[in-house]
Amino acid sequence: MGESDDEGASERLKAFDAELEQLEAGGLHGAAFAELDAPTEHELREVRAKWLGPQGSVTLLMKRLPELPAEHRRQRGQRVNAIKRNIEECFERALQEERNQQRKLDLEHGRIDVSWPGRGRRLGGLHPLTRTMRELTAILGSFGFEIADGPEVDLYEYNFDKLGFPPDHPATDMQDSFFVRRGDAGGSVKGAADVAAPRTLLRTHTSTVQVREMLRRKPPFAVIAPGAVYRRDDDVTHSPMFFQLEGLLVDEDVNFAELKGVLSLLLRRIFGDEVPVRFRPSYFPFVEPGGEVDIGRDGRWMEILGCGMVHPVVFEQVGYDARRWRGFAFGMGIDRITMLKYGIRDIRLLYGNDWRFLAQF
Amino acid sequence: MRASYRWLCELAGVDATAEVVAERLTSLGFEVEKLTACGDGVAAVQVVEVRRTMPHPQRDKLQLVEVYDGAVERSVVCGASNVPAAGGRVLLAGVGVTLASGKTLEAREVGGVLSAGMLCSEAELGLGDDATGLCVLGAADVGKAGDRLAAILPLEDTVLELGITPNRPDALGHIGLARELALSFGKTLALPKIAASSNPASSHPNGAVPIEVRIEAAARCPRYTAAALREVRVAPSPLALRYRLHTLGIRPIHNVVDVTNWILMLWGQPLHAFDASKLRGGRIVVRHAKSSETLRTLDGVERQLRTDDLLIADAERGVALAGIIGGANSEIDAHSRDVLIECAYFEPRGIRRTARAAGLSTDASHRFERGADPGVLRLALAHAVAEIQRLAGGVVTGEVVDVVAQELPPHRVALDYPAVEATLGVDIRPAEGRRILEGLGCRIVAAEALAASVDGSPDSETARRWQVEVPTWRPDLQRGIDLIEEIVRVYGYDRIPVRLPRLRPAVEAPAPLPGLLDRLRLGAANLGLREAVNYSFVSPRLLEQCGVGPAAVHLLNPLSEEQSVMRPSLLPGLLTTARLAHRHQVEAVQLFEVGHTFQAAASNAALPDERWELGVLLSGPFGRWLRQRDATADAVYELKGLVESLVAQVLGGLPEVALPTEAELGVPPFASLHPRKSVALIVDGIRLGVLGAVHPDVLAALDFARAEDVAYAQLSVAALLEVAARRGTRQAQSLPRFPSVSRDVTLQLSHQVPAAEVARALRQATDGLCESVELVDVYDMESASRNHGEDGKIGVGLVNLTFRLLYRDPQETLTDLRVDKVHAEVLRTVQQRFAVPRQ
Repeated sequence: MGESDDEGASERLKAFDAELEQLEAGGLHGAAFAELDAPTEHELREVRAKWLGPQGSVTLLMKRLPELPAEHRRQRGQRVNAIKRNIEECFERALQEERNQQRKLDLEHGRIDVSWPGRGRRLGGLHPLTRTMRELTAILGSFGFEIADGPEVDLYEYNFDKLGFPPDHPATDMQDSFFVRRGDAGGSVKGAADVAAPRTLLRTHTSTVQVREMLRRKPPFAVIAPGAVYRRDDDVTHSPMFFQLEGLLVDEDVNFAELKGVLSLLLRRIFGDEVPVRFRPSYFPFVEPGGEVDIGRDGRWMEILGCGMVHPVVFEQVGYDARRWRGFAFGMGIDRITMLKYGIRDIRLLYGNDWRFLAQF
Repeated sequence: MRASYRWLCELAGVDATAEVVAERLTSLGFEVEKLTACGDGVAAVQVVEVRRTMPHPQRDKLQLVEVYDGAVERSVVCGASNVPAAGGRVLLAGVGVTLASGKTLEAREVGGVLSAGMLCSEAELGLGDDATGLCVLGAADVGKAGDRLAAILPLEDTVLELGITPNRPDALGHIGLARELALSFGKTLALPKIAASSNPASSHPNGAVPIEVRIEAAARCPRYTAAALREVRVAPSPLALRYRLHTLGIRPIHNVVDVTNWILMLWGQPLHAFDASKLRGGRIVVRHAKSSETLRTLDGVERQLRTDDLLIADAERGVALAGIIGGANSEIDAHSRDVLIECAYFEPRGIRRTARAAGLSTDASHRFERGADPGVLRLALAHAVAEIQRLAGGVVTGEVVDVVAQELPPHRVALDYPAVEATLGVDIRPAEGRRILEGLGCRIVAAEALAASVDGSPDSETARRWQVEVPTWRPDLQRGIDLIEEIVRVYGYDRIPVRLPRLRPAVEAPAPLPGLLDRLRLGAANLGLREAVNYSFVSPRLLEQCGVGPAAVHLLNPLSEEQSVMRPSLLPGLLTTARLAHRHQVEAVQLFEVGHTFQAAASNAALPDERWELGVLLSGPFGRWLRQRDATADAVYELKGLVESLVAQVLGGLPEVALPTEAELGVPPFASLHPRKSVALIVDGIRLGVLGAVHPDVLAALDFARAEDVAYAQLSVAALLEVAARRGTRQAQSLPRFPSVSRDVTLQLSHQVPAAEVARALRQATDGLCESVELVDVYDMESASRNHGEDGKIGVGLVNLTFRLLYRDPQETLTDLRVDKVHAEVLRTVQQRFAVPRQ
């Protein structure tokens, strides 16, 4: 029994060794992959599977190890593992080589037509007026001005009286107003008498916000108010609705030189450091000394904003001590700046909402 | 206003080019908008004397005129019918002269006769508007044969087009402007010398035009002066005067009216000339009009007067609308002999009210409503009388009338001199300030020392309060700051240094609105929307068509019906914009607008309810979403995705849009939207706005070619602000420590069941184990069965919805076993709840 067992064991060992030697001959020293010429990854994996896969020859041989006499298992096991390791290494190397080759091929010959349009483009855009408004508020914001907002339908009082417009004065002609039907703005329609002296109008300038902010705040402060304003003009250079930006700074010791400083810097930020700037006297009832500012453009002066020191009468209207507080104010047409900046020749483009125009921004 | 460069230089004693003068005027606050050179081309035109006239040998309608040019006689072919008799003087344009039309004359044969030039009309030479015949010099004109035109006229000139601000009535006359120029150039203003009346009043005690003036409305007419002349010869003015008026944009009429206009342009004081023989009762009454009174004015209009209107009347009737326009009944005509010249001061506000009520703006009203100079009346009147006498003869009868109903003395203004530097940021020495103010006609009547300043070392010259008497022609100078402006205006704005103010950080926290508006706009643009900016006023008809009318806020004086009401919604503007884009062959448009909308005022508010809103409009075919076969659904889902993304950007996190309650279902959230394809957007219990397909009736009314895929959303900015404020800053969540497991479930459901309700039920059923439920596929049984030729009978009203559930246990790794168990339970619960009865 024992003898035949021994005999059986030695037979199995012999058979095992024969197979092992055969595998060693074909599987060591890179022999397994040697015959493949420029193999694909798939071919490499097939060869690997032939050796190491679940039915691979090395795997099967490995499974027979327990049949061997105990004293031989270790040594045979090491030899089988050596084959396995060698094949793995060769496989990895060949695979790497194959991938390198693929990358090389891709780099040499691969191509996509990158001139095709990108996928799912979403082309939106801000109106050029908004672009200018953002730019102006960002610059003035960096100077320390806060943004304020006010209604577009406002009291006649805020639009004119509190800004020092004398009653029945031609100064109001500069700003021909749209009036709002009385009953629409609170109270009830009482008849023709109300129509003759309308109390509410579409603000003709953002200076109404000056008044509102002064009534609301205590100095010192610096605010800007961008927004839509309305005047009864409609031609090639005037739109009945347009946008303004108003600025107001109130403090104890501000002066005209500082007004010039702020506005010069603002205009340089908008139009570049080289832009010529000219201050000249002008008249707005709510500032004094009042002025207008021109920038040089193509050898001509173009009016770009109005400005001045806050008139003491305005301070008196809002209950500030005109001996203690001084201020300066300025207002500019966002339309004009937008047109200059973006080369828009006709103001009607700004409010025409033609898609072919909007799609440019 | 137009001004003559040449005249200004004469008056101001200035010798500078027109460009320099224009620049200086602009820097003084009188903006020169345009410069027009005139008279250049015709300087070489000569005065010639007609010697004889004979017919042209070949042409019937032409004549040969022999003229003498001071040296030789020349022959000129002429077609005019008013060639004067021998001895008459006309104007000859020789070869090389450039006419007003721009044409340069060349030597030319006319019908075989060589013409030595051309005899010209006023219009051809640019001297006036008269093109009817030759310009013939009259008795009043200087110039003998051989004189160049430039020698007999102030020919070469530059007309300055000035924008005079309404605070400066004094600059509406050449003397006012010249005063500024003289000061600026350091010259002395040369006021015109006025010839003494050649017929002193006393020498004609029997004058036929005694005038009594009575002012019954003292507040409206503080002072009225007048002078009467007899035996005036009304005739055309000399060419020199006609030319000057013509270049200043005033049509010459005849010598009397031309003189009054010339005085207007010189002194800025409007005058009026009456035919004194037409004034009844020898009396002028300055009074308010009576309620039913009418007046036919010089422009031929019969005007109904109001009792607020100031009238110049004679003993019986109105003869002029005071300070605005004369009456036809007292107009000077070719036969007038007796003339009354009115030179008065009218109260500005009243003139303005009447001019506006009458819809009239005349040279006179323009000046009076800004404030004329009450101190110049006698001077201007004397000057006018002297000029009329020079040009039209006549004798002055009676005294010059000067009725003062109310004294208007020069007033005084105090100026604390230290305020000059404090206001301007530059030290202008008192001597310079004094020079400027005095140059403008002010008188410094006192300079009192001010209390010593805090630092104890007052500059004795500077620390003074000046008492300044301002001239009568400067009604705008009322307080110290006005004088400071005068000083810096003449000193030069360009000489003020440029400094930056000290930085003063804002104490008040910035209002959240501007930031939110900016994020909304930027977010919308980044999501592929283009921004529109529409007028806030729209037509009432458009509002009706859009289902958002009638408007609550109407304009009293719109430019047109199309722009007569304030928009209550951004929808009409955006629909109009989209429709325009479609007309330009743009298939799909994605628009947004951020702006104010206007609703009726709250019961006791002074102003309408004005709100910031965001409107988003999509119009055109959009990509399919979740296998929809309905273009409207595609548009609505596209819009919903956009709006959700936008709200998420602004509020920091995808919003959960609440479902309408039972009561809300079927009630359209907004009349302009499809009642069954729209929803209110509610976040955190706050209604943000509405979203849905635009109502098909609206689209039909607006002629939309494609009505099936237009969707609109509007959000209230105030509501967004409120949600944002409540939410505060978004807080970070800790990351999950254990992996999630996802499971899909497909349910056959009725069309009537909102997917969100199912999703909510699914989530609730998982007992907190489910992190999210997402609708990932939709299969419409009804249309699918129809497509399979089964007449839609099988899947009527059914839809398959596939949801993806994400399970996660925050405490441990989920096993498949556990998920399977929970998921099965969830399915059972939900199927039970939404089970569709078998057909």
